[in-house]
Amino acid sequence: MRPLTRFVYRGWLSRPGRTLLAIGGVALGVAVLLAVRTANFSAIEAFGRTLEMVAGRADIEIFAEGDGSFDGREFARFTRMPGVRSAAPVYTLAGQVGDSLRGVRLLGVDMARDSQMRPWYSAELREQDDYLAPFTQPRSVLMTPALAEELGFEKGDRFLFHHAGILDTLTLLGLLRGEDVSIAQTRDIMVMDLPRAWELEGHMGRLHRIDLLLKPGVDVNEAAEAIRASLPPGMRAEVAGWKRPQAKKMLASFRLNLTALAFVALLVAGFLVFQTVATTALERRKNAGVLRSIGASKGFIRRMFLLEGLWLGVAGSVVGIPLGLLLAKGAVDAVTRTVQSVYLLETTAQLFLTWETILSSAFLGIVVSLGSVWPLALEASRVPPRESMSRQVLEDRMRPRKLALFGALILLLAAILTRYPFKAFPVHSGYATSALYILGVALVTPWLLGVLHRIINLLIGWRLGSALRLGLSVLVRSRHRITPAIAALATAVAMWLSVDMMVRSFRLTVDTWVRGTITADLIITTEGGMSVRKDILLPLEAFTNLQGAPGIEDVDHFRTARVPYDGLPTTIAMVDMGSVHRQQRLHFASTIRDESPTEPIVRGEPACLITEPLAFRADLSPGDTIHFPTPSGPAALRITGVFYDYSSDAGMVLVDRPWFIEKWQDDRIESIAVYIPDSLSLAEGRLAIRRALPKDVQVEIFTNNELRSSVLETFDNTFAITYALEAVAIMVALLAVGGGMASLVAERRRELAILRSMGGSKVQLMKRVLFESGLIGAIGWGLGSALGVVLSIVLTFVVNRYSFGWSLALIVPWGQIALSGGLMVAAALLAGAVPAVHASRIPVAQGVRVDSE
Amino acid sequence: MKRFLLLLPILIFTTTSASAQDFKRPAPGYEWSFPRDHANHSDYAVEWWYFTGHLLPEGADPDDMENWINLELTFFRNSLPGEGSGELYFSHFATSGNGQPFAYGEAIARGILGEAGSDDNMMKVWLDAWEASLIDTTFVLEAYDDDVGGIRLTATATTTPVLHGEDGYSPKGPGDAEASYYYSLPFIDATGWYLPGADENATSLEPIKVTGRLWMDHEFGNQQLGGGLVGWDWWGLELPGGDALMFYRIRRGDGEAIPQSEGTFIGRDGRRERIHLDQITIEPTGSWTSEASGATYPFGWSMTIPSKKIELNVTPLYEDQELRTDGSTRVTYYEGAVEVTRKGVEGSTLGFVEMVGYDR
Repeated sequence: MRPLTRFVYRGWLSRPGRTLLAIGGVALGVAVLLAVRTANFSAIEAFGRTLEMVAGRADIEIFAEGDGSFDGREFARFTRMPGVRSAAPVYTLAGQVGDSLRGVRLLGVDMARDSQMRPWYSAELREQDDYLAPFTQPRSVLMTPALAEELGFEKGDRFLFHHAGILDTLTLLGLLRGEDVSIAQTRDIMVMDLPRAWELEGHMGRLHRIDLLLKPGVDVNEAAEAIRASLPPGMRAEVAGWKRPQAKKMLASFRLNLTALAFVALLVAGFLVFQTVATTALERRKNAGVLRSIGASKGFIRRMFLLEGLWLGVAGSVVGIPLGLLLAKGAVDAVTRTVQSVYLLETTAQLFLTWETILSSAFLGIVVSLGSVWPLALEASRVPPRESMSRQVLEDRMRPRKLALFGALILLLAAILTRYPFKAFPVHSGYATSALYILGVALVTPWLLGVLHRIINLLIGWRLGSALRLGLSVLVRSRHRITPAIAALATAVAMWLSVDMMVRSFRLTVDTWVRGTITADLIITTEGGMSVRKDILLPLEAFTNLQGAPGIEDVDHFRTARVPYDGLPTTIAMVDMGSVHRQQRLHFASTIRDESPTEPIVRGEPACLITEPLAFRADLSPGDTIHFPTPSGPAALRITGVFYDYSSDAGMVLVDRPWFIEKWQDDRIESIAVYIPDSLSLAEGRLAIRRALPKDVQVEIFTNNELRSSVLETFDNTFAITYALEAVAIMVALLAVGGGMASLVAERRRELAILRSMGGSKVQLMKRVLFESGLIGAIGWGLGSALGVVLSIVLTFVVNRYSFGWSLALIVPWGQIALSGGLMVAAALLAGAVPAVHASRIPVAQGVRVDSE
Repeated sequence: MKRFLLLLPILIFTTTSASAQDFKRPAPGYEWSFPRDHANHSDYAVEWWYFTGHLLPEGADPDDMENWINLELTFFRNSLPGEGSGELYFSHFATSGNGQPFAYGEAIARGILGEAGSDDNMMKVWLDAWEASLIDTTFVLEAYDDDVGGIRLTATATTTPVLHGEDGYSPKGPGDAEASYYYSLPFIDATGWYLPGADENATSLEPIKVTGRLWMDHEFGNQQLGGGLVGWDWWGLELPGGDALMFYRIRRGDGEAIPQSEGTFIGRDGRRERIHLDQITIEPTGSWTSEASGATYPFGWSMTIPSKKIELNVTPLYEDQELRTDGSTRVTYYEGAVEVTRKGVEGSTLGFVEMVGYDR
């Protein structure tokens, strides 16, 4: 063995506990980074599938203007179209099932191959003998498990189906399986083979919709354009989603934010690695002095330190990666269980693991370890042998003010980047800014400790603040030891808070999105379904009885039109502003001070509300006037409020019904949102609506609440895991605190022993050490809270805004900040317990010996 | 015979006596009328069109068998029992050779909206963008799949249809009901374009001009099949010297061929001769096991017809030419290009072999 290696190796063996702690520190840092990244991505992926279910899979939907159904002969050519992966015809019927007249939608689909579009029923049926039963048995349907359960139906049951004045007896052939059926929107669905569905009302060959799925890489807008050009008059092709791209964007945003937070976890882990490696390496300083005095070269000393760092890094990574994988696996299993229990899905949350994640975790372990010993290596090789044997000197060499100045410059740079980010690279710019903030705070910390000390000195008299002053002075004196621990803690707290803010913001965004997708308790539309029926208009007269009918609290009539604005087709949405005002269902991003955004509109003032994407795109704010064309000439409306809504990229203008009818000279509507009192169930609400409508009106009634709550439930469950991982990050930070306190106690061995010899009790000593730990916790928390708010601002206003054109709602979680404060101090006390006990047990006689170290 | 049994797994559950009564049953004495009989026969429950063939890129050396692009394009029509049940269409499309690995695609459709269908008056059968039709005397074949590639061929038959069995009435078992109508067009000259599939090995994504020869099989009937059958082997071979041979062997559970197994010798002068099972000996010369399905297939045969002084060696060009069609017919079968040599005749020719029922 070469002397260098042997030296490091011997050192490890002579202090196995310390060595293990150092390796453990590195390993935990590596593990937590790996686990946070992996679990976050897995949660996102799992949740993404849920969102996809709501939005539907089709890329393009083709439908008819006017009466709703069209000649199915239009269908065949889409199956031959280049770029189309699969085409699925859809025919829909609305009706009621059983004695309870439960409203359901019956979809006629091509059962032979609809699985390409909606992989829900084929799997089960194909494994059974009755694979062909849907084709060969007339009047037989498949049903969602939820609907069958609600109705108490079992396979083989026959039941009545009322539709368009016809009474049919249908047979339940089996249950639908797959991911889609879990969602309330598709809960009320029965599926039938297309020709069999035609037989019910004799509409042979008619379709309501064609869903197209494109091949990967085909531009959806170009494809839609090409299809539009080929459609006969009266037919329309729309990119299916005004919903789906939004869902995609939303997911992309979540992913980005969580990546940023995983990156913060990296920094927490980095501080722990620094803390442990530096502490171990510091032990070597004395050795270095001795070695130098017996003739070792500077290069030898440097290499010795670097080798130490390298080995700690490698050993820690080797232990940390399997540990991280185990941790991530546990987390992902938890996500899977959640998804399965909530949805009864057969889906598994994938372990979203990439080599990049593994390698970057190992890279962190090794590079940060090396980086941590680098300054020590330089310093130890430079100092004269005599000096290196004393501890205090390093202190003098660390110049808090110089570091703080450097830190302040970094913070300034970060602030500038927050205000003026590189808009071309919002993501990287945002990451860099976050890193700068964290680094800046870490660099300023030693100086800040001194300042804090002085302020406390000034503010508090000797008696009152003796413990505080004493504790602070200890920390100030040993700030080189304590700073990484404080920085780790601050970063972990910042991560906790910004993850919390982010997840809350996501939740609100999701909630708003779901609400925007389907509003109100119940929605009345024409037969045929939500996503397509925008162009089939309902005569207003049929619904005049609804407002004020028993069991109905409020009614909002909805209609949209598209006008060009600022170069993009922009949606003008007609609503009953009175209902919007009463239901308070919009979340405003900005309004005019001291003025209700909806009241002037309700009063009949020419005013409107606009969505945030529109405000951002066209640089509009409340108080501005928006001009756009209408069938009766140009219109100008004052904007009274900007509200959160992500249902349309191009944005939306909300106007009141009378104004719209006047300008468009058309009082027909697309859908009606119905609000029912809380005391009524949705089923009762449905009945109330049915009673209030004329008998001959064929409509469908959808519910929103089930959908919303089930989406939010998944959200909460899938993201619960991120909190668990934050807890791990905080534990890592606390290990740093424990390690820091331990080395602090070791360093002050003599001082503590003298205190004992002067009559200090064991309990007093323990109290002092604990107090110092608590102080670290408090300071870390304080810095972390500030940092957390700053990071959230960066994520919200830099990363999200410039990459997605919208801001997440920024929520400052005061409750969480307070909670984390208490928790941090308590946890820091816990982390200080072992060093405190250790301090109280220092033998006095041995401890006071000058050369005891 | 050939791919008639392909539909067995699907139909076994649905073949009811009612459906048998709904459709006509093949009987001897059918009056053939071409080109009408190339078209669809909706009176019969089951029908298929099968094109196999070999295409040579322009300028390539025809003696190097690996230069040839081997092709399979099939359409199946299957009437479902019961009024209003309609039909199911299946299609398989496979290519191999010329530097491309064996690749296949499959499709299923109801034909309820014109996305698949077959014409009763002129030959035209299609499923989405895959289509085979006869315009006047020219066959037109078109198919494209991202993995398999694409073809666009026009082709002309150089012989009249070869009726198998008893003037096209082809017994498939001992009972009267166990039969179908079956004929082939063995020598169809084809020319057109081939586009390699989007495989990573694809050297060019440009269409290649090709010429070659196709073999068409057309069969229809209902699905009354004898019990105890597990599968079959089928050969459609162009022989060195210009003759051709079709032979099928229907296997029972014990591996033995049923006596109704038979074939047709087609002489270069247009002469046809029915070949019965006792006139031919077929010995496998090797075997190959599919990793994907676990099925072990015979791999290469020596075939002799002493009465015609024919001694053949038949060897598959590539190992894996297996189709696993879970998305359509739900049958696993081997449909592969083979090289044929004949004792006493120079050179070698190409053909196709089909083997079904080895995965069970």
